[in-house]
Amino acid sequence: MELTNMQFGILMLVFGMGLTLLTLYVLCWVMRILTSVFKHNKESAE
Amino acid sequence: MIFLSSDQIITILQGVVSGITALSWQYAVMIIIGLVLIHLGVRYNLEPLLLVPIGFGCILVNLPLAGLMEPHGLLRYFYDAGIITEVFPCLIFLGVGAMTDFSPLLQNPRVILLGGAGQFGIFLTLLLALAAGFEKLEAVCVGIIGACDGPTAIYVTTQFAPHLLGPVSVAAYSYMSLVPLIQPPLMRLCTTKKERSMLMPYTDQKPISTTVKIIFPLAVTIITVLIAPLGAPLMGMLMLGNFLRECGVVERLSRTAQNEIVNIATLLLGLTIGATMNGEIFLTAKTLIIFALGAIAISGDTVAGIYLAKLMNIFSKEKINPLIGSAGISAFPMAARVSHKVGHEENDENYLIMHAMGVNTGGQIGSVLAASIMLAVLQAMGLI
Repeated sequence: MELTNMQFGILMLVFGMGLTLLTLYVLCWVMRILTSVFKHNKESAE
Repeated sequence: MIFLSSDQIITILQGVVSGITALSWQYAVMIIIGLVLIHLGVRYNLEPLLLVPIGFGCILVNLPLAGLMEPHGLLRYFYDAGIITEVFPCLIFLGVGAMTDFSPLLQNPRVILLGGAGQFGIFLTLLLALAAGFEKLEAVCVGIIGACDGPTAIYVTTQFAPHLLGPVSVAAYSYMSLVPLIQPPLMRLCTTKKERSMLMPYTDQKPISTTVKIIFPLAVTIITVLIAPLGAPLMGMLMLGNFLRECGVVERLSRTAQNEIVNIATLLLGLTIGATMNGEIFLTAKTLIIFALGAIAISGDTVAGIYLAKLMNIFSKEKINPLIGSAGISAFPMAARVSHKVGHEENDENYLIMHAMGVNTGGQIGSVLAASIMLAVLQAMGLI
């Protein structure tokens, strides 16, 4: 793929930033699901 | 002397002072820079664990004829064994993972997005580095300073622009240590007094079960490495360290990762990074540009985090103080403390520390993830 420097930079910005936020959004949902499925049990913690 | 001629005496004296006569201005300047780094670490307590060995390494490598970075030199062995192979940054991540408690993040998962916004500086700086005339892969390495994460910067730069390793890693560590000076003015500039004074309650935060804490590092590893496989060494080590901490059955390994392993790796990594600061290679216009771009990178991270927090407030019922957005970088726990301090100065009932810790740990994951995704995109484009 032959890209000029500016095309390369913009592509990295869009894909890099976009995919980073998207993956973190997925992780956000994973955390929500985990915390709602495995609730903290006070008695077992004690 | 009776048994030596005057010529022989002169030759011996020349040999004795050869180090002094070989001292060029570049070496002298770098020795002064090494002393300044040590001074910052010792006198002002700025990242002393890193700046002290980096400064000492810098002095050692700029003492002429010592040959410590020549083939068979002591520091060359450390460099080849730990930096070229990328073992040192990965071992440091093992220790960082073992020292990190992800509970504040698990209690408020949406703030992980602020850890993504905190990586904006990487891509902004990449664009600016390209505009400044750096080659594509060089620009990627300069941009990675915006991860505010020394090991990640070293990991990426070693692979794609090893000749920039000295300036990039020193800039990354220097700006990490300067977070308390760089961020507060930007935070005040980007927020109103009302926003800075906003209280964030802790009442709705529930304790996190041990099962979640154990599954979390495994889930993060599997998901992120499936998306960006080239980041596996860093993310894998970070999450392995955290797993050792949370699984509760390998206390000895967890303690070793938090102490002996990370301490030895930090010492050798710092010393070796200092040893890449050879005056004849380091003192160039490129180094100055890299340092200038590094400052822009950290500033870009800070501003992007604050504005994403404001944006999230538009769409969310539970408001967040925009100051915690600035903690979405990898400098842990310094960035979280800065967010808390600025908020507390504005309103003494404001205790943002645990919320900011959640964002800060999200920034640790975000920085490794952003670097991994950059590598995945570069690979897809056939550039690596």
